[in-house]
Amino acid sequence: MNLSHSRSIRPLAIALCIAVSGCVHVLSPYDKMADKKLSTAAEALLDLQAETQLAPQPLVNSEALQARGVELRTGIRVARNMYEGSYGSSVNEGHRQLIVSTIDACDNAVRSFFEVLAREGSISDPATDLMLTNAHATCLTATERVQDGK
Amino acid sequence: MADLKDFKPQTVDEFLNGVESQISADLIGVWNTQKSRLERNLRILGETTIRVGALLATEQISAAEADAIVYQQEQLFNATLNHIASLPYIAAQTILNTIFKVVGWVIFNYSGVNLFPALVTP
Repeated sequence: MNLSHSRSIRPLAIALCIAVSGCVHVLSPYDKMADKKLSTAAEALLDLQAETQLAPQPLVNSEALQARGVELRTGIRVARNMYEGSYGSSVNEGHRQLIVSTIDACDNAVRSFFEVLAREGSISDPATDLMLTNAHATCLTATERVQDGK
Repeated sequence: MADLKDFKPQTVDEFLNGVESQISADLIGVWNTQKSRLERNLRILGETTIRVGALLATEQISAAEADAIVYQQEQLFNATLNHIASLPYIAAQTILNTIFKVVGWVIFNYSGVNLFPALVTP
C-alpha cells in the first residue's frame, strides 16, 4: 500500500467538500419544512387569484373563503414559529430576524386581504389581483430568505 | 426638494426620480449606498402606487381596498429595511416616511383620496 498516496487523497477530499459546501446551502429539516409551508402558501395564493380571474363576479366573503385564509395563515405561522423556538436559537441572530420579519410581512399581506374581504363583504377584481400579487411576492421573498440557510 | 403637489408620475422611473428628489441632504449618502438593495421593492411599489391611483380615480377600487393594498407594500418595505443591518433605525424610519409621503401624494394627485393624512397635507 502506498501510504504517501492515501495521505494525499484526504486533503484533496476535504478541499473538495469545502468547495462544494461553499456553493450549496445545506438546509436543516426545519428550514426545509418552513420552505415547504411558505411555498404551499404562495401556491395557494396563486390558485385563489386564478379562481377569481375566472369567476364572473367580484370575490364575495364566505365562511369557506375565510377557512381557506385560516388554513393558509396556519401554514405560514408554523414556518414562523420554527424560527422563534429552540431551532431559532441555533440560527445566526441577524439571519433569524431577517427570516421572521419577512415571514411576518407574508402573514400580514395575507391577513390584510382576508380582513378587507370580511370587513367590506366583497372585494373588487382589481383589488383582489393587486393584493394577492403582493402577498404572493412577499411569501416568495420569505422562501428565498429561508433558502439562504443559516 | 421638489414640490409634490402636482407630482403625477406616469412611469415607474418617474416615480423613482420623485422619491430621490425627496431624500434630504443629510440622508443622501446613506441613500446612495443602499438604493440598489431597495430598487426591486421600489419598482414594485412605484408600479402599485400608479395603478392604485388610477384605479381609485376611476372608482374601480374603494378607498378601503386602496388603503389595504398600500399597507401591504408598507409592511414589505419595512421588512426589507429591517434587513439592512448597517442602516440605523432613525435613517430607516425617515426613508420609509419619505417614500410613503411620495406614495401618498401620487395617490392623492391621481384620485383626491388622502391615504396618509400625517404625511400628505394638501
